[in-house]
Amino acid sequence: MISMLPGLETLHRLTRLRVQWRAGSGAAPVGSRRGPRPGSSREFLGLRPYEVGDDVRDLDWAATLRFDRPYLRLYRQEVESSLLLVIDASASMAYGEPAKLDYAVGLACALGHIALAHSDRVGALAFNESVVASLPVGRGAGHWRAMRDAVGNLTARGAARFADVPTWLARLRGFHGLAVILSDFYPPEAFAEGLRRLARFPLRAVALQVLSPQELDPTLDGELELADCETGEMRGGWIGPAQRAAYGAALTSLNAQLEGMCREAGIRYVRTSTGVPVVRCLQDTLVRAGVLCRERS
Amino acid sequence: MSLTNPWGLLALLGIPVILYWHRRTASDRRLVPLIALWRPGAAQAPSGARRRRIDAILLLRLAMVAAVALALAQPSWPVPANVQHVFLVDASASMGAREAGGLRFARAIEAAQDVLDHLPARAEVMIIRGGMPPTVVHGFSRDRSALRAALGAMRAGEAPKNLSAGLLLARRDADGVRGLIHVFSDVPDPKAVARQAERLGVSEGNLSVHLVGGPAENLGIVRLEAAPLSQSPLDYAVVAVVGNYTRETRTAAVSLNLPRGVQERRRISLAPGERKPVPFTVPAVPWVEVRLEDNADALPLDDRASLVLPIAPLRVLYASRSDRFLDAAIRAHPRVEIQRIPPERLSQEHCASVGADVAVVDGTPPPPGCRVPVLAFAAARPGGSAHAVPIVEWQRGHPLLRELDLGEVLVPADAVLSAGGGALIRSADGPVARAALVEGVRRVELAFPADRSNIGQTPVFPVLVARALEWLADRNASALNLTVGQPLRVSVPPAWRGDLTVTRPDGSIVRVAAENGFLDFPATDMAGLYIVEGPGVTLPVAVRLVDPDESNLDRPASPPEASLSLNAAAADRADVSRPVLAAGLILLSLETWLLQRRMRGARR
Repeated sequence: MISMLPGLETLHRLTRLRVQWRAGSGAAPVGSRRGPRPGSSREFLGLRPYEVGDDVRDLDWAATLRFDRPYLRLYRQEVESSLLLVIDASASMAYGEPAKLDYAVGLACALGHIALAHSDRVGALAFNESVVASLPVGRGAGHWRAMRDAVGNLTARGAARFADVPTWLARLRGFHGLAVILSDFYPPEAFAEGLRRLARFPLRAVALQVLSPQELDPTLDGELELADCETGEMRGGWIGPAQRAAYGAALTSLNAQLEGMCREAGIRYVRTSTGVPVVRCLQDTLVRAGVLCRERS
Repeated sequence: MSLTNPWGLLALLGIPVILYWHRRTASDRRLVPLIALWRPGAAQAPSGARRRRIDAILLLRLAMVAAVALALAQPSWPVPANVQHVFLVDASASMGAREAGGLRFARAIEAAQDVLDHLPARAEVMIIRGGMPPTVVHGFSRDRSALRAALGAMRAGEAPKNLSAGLLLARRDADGVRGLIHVFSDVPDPKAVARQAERLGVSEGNLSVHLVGGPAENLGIVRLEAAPLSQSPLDYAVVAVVGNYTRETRTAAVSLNLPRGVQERRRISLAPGERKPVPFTVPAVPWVEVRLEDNADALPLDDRASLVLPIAPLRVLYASRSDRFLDAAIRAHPRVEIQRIPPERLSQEHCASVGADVAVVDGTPPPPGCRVPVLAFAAARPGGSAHAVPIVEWQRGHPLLRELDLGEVLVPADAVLSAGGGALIRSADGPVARAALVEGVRRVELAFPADRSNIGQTPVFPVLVARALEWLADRNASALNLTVGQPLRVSVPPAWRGDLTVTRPDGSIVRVAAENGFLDFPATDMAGLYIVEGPGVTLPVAVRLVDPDESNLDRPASPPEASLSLNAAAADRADVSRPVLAAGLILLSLETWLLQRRMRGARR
């Protein structure tokens, strides 16, 4: 049972959205989508000078005669893209009401449903210190049920080891398309290397940071002993307005650091709160972030 | 405040355990997703605020442990010093038992004086002697010396135990909820007294039973009764039941004393706990006395008992045209006074005015509404058959017909009683005799006149008539055989309106006056024979103690510890363990609620 997953009627209404595929690289299976690289479709992309080994059938004779050197016609490649949903199941994702993990799972399943409804391929991966759930890339209604079964019973525990995620993603056999990483990205250092490695892969990645209202605006007060839910590290002392203000500043700084890391890796950074309903996040936050777009009627 | 069970305070050892456990669990520990974001300021906490942050859950848990420990210790709270105390000292016959330490009653007085010494100075005390009837010996007073003197002047009585009356009197005078009734008694079961008190509206908290008495061995006469002999209605069978309340087989002599001296003496042997009937046959004498002899036991009072036999002359109103067999049968009774009238004069007014015990009517129906028991022989039917039929059935177990043989009796063939219950004798044609209640008055009816049957010529007839007269008169001596303390009330002839005298067993003579045809004499507090004397007549009255509960003196060597301690605590203190326990439960609920709230907060 996925607590944060919208109802079937709402999911059906959400199919008016579709995944916005854009930018990408590398060879991919030919499909119904326009690939970002030159390919064999009949949609003209441009011209480039002939190089040895090119197919002479693609010579543009008009351009060759005009510029007195051989030019080749380039066509847009039709590829089939995959949506890869990466869910952080580390202990820190259990925090908040609702838990960040529940929210991330609900959001991932809804995204998967949207993609599958448009015949896109979807794969999923949940991780903490290792892979805790994975679903190879596939399509169809049965695949969505398999995805729900795969990620529906996740439990948040352990630390996040994101550095190995690109390697694990490669095993899903959908190593292209769009990868949406749903995590709180705590601590950012644990994600830095993985994000850099991910940038080298032929994927468009989106880092969707999920935070809870309780950590965005904490109400802790008084003499407390704080314990890190992942590392177990403890800090005791007095929490008052000054400490809460310092926490806010540290969180802002951390988010800025994460955004900078994503920018350097060419990854789109999006932040949402579990206080925002999943449907609104899909229709508003992710549309504005360019992850989803509304289908033209 | 005092503690009935101080060992219960050992539960306070749970407090250090709670503190240790609380320190370990650190209920104010909060999980955060990233500790690096927090910089708690240890030095910034104001000391006042730290003090205010005393953990409420810890306080609740400590208070809860303290409440449970206190409840286990059974604390009692002193009631206001001016509470009223009623001392009800049981003065029944068993309290006069001799024990190793003296009389049982003396021990009760000592216990009462001990309680009196420990009462607060402002406490008011009333003393009731729990006899039959109970009497207030001293009203509410704070004068300890007067109260002590009143206690010392009390003596045990000879009446059976009747604590209910004493409790009723105490409850009436005690001050409602704040009054405390102390019962000093040798009752075998103090809970029985508590139940009695509860029925009378005295709650357990207002009652304190102080048990006295230990083991005591006793033989006693626990029952004494007389009944006419079936073979000879004018003689009596006297049965005395002797009980052995010792722990070994005992032998004793039982003697029967008549007014003229000792009649008979028998030796009996009784096993422990056994009750054995000892029958005697006595002639018609005014009274008998049965004594246990050669018996040294704890209570001499129940070693003798008197019994008055119903032998007063029977007043018979005889309305007949003279049947010689019936005349002879009535005159065969040695104690009858016959007033003879013609049948036609018999009327309701005559029945009422003559003061007869029984009326015998032959050949004429009894007057309607007659309030006198009647032995009625029916008139002969005009033109009836001369044919006779035999008796075929009779009730051989009925007091009138026991051991009588009516097989030779013939009755007229047409003499049959109308339908109705109580048939005594049946001929071949139907019921011919009945004994029944008519308008609440006994009546024996025969369906034939005496001279129309051969029953008058048979030997059973005088026996049958004598039994019928006794049965109809329904004379029993219950009004003349009383238990000690039971008021004497006997009807006396109108001629006795003047002063009468009652001679008590100790020889003292009391003058009393009869009123409204009754003699009332309540001072029967001494066992023995009371003699009521009027103009020309002497009436004996037996007052005795025949009560197994009083004769059974065996008590445990030491009274139950629990009841004594409970009662001692209840003497002037109110048990508050239940409210304390209730407070502990409330604290537990609060702690659970607070803990749930915190856990919800911690999850966030």
